[in-house]
Amino acid sequence: MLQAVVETKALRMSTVVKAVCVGSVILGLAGCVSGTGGYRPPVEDRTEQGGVIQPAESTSTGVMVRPAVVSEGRTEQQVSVPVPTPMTSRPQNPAVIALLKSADQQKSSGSMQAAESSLERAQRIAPRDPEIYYQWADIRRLEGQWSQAEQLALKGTNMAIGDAIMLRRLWLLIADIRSGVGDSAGAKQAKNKAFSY
Amino acid sequence: MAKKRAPKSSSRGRSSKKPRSFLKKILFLLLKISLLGLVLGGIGLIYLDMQVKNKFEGKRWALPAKVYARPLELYAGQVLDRAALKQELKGLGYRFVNRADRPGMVEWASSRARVHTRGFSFPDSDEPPRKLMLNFSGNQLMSIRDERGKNVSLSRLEPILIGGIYPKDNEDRDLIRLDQAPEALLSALIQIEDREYYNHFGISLKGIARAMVVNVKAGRFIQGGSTLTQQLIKNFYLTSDRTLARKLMELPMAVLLDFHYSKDEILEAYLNEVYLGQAGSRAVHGFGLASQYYFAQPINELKLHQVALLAGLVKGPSYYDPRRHPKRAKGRRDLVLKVLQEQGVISMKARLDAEKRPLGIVKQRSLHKGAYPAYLDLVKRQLREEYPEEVLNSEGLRVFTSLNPTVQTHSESALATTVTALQKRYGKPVKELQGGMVVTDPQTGEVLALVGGRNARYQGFNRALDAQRSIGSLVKPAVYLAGLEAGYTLATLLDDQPVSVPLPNGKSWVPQNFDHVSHGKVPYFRALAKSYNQSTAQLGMSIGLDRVIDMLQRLGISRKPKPYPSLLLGAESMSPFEIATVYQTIAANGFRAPMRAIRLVTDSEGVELSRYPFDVKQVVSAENMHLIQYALQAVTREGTGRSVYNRLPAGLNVAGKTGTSNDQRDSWFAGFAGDRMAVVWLGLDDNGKLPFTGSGGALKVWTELMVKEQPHSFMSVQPEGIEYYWIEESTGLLSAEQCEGVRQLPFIKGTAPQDYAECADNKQNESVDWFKRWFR
Repeated sequence: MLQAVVETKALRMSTVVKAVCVGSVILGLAGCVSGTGGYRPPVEDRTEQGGVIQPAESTSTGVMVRPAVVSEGRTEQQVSVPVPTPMTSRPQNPAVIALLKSADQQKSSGSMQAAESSLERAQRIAPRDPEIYYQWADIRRLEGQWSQAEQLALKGTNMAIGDAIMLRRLWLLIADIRSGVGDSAGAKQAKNKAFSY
Repeated sequence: MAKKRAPKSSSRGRSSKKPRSFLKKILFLLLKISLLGLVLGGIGLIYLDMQVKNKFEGKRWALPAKVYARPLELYAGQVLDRAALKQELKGLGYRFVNRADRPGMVEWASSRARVHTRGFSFPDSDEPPRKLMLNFSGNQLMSIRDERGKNVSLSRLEPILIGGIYPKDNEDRDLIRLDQAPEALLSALIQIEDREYYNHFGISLKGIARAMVVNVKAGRFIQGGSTLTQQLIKNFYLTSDRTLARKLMELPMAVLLDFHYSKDEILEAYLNEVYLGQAGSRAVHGFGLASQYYFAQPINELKLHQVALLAGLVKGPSYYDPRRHPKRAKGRRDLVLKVLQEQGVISMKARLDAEKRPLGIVKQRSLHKGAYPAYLDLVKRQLREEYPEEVLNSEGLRVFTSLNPTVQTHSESALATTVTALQKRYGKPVKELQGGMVVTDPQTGEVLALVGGRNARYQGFNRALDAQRSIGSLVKPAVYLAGLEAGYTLATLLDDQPVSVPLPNGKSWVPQNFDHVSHGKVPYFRALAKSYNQSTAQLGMSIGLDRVIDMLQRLGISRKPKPYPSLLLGAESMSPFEIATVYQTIAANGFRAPMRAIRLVTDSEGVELSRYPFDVKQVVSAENMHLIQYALQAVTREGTGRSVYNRLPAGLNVAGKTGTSNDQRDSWFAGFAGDRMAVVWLGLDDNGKLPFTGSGGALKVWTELMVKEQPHSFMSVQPEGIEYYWIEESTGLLSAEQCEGVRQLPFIKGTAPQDYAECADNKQNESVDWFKRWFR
């Protein structure tokens, strides 16, 4: 009668999540070492990542504290910009892996809203993880929201710069999306782009 | 017949018959009256019965929409300020104890915390109550383990309730079920208010008799001898006038209610109906809400001394108000405890223990409900676009927002402390200094905090949304971005020379630099970093106002600014929220997404009604965004915003733009780190002049916020179509690392200068790309 709340439906989903996560903790424990001398401002540098074990989060959310020398009378030469090179693997936080996994399961079972909620949670934790945008774009594609699907995939490519494998997947997805709306020229372009990686 | 007989009888025995027939008449009349009364009474009863049933079985209360802050996510590897976690738990009413053995409790130690969560039914999934062991190392959450020692990858705390949308009568309540009410509360209510509750039939004749005696003694109607059932009738169905008529209605209705429904059903309704206090204009109804209002805890977690106080409040919430009259309230509470003990409900020991306890009322200021009027204002505006008012204030909707209470607290205090410091420094001219702030997460587009004025708790003019002020130089990134699209590069030399633009009215527009000095040939990026007006005007006029307007609209401005040349220097007025959309898009690498305050709305059962999705659209190429982000970092590293690094660590990359309007009436800063974008405005409501610029005012607030927030560093990703070259700044020509006065600048492929500066010899003239590859 009363609408008063808080059901405790129990652990159905969270047990799955847990199981997945425990396994993925180990996978997720890869991290970054950062820091070379001198002030290097604007460009994300992925050349020095990987190899050293650290809690995953420090990379996936992009915290990189670099030693830098800044003083009032600084000369312009100190602003130097390194040129990033492609990276091969991207460490993920176990929480993000778990959320991606549930999103995938929710997607396969047709619960698109729940899947989107999981991806939104993952995005808040690791907004620079292109996998999230890949999954998200795919959901929008399945829902027939073509232009949103493409935009999300494009956002993914923006986050995946330097990650050839991810870029190829994303551009193939974009090709799929474009074929979906009958844009065969655009699809072909995207496919070519994919195979350039 | 009567006529004929009458004379007869009158002639026969006038004296003896007359009284009898008179009596008969009276009796007859009385019979008629009582018959009529019976019929009318019957109709009345049926009517009352209908009323009683309809209201009790229908939707009993208009339930205000509940608005929640974002739930705090907990995961291993998370950077989590321990003070912020503590604040969050306090906001949720967790008790800090030595042994957290029940939900809503936490054990707090220097590097670990054991939290027994309450669980919450989120729209996407249920978060069960759990015992979580959180291990910290500094401000990083290293691991989360459940009670069996297993790693938990992710968990959510309950969201803090930050407000509601109330109906006109301002009644607010949190419904509870009977089984959620502590046993002691039910006993106390019955012992204090209506001892015969489970035995009487809705009314208590004993009680009424007792009340009558009191009334007769007093000579007027002051006491009603009400049962709980009658009290419910009184509040639920009738007006609050103390009239006999109402009293007469109340009695049959109470009997009817008791006849139709079980004692427990009636008691449950009573628990939710009863008036228990006043929070400003908001009337606090029911024990569920009262528990939150006085103790910031759910009712089922209350202890005996708290329960006794709530039960005691029924008699006079205002007279016994524990915040205003703590002594009276304690007296009343202890009386309730005494009665409970005397009636054998509790032991003497329990009574004495409870009597020793302080009232334990939370400060009203510490309550989150009503603490964020500016943010709620934004939420309500967005909701009203979709839902009619009566749905919002009566259907018990649940609204999940992006408000981050920690960021909100940091923002409010950054604004307040900076304004106080500025007032101390500049005195009277800034006595009425005001401000507004918008804070978002650049990648998700979620609005994390909103400050509407320096007194953030005051529900007044919402400057973040409604102050329309000249944006000054905040417009410049749009101008320079439009220029980049038109073919300029960061190395292009702009002419910082006096400029005069003839206007249609015959006058001329002659912009000045802030320092009234022209700087000659200035590299493109530096003209923006130093916020030179003349070179900006030159640039804007050469590319045309249409491109600038188009760029502003693509970045997120929904209206179309008028094509006046003064637009180039920010004569256009906008609210902090409106200009925030522009910087949000820039911070998000050119992907525009709506700035969302609401994540999701569900009905009272948790069924999703509407979702505010993350809809992105790329509006500027990744390459051009990379260039403008470079220039905006030059603002904070070496330009008008460089004072940020007096306080921020040098390794933290931030980017942004200062803004000062004409005649220094507005002080702005808009900027971002990796996971925080904030726009700050300072000014006077009467549009008076300020004794400081954007960097002297708003930038200080922004910096203060970032010091508190410790955001992630901003990292611009280098797109494929970008190459870096060494450039000689004075000429804008290619140069080499070893030369004087050079820097590395990014260029869109194919747009770098072709010619070499004198210093550079052939070997050094190679592109950096090539150079680096060769040496790897």
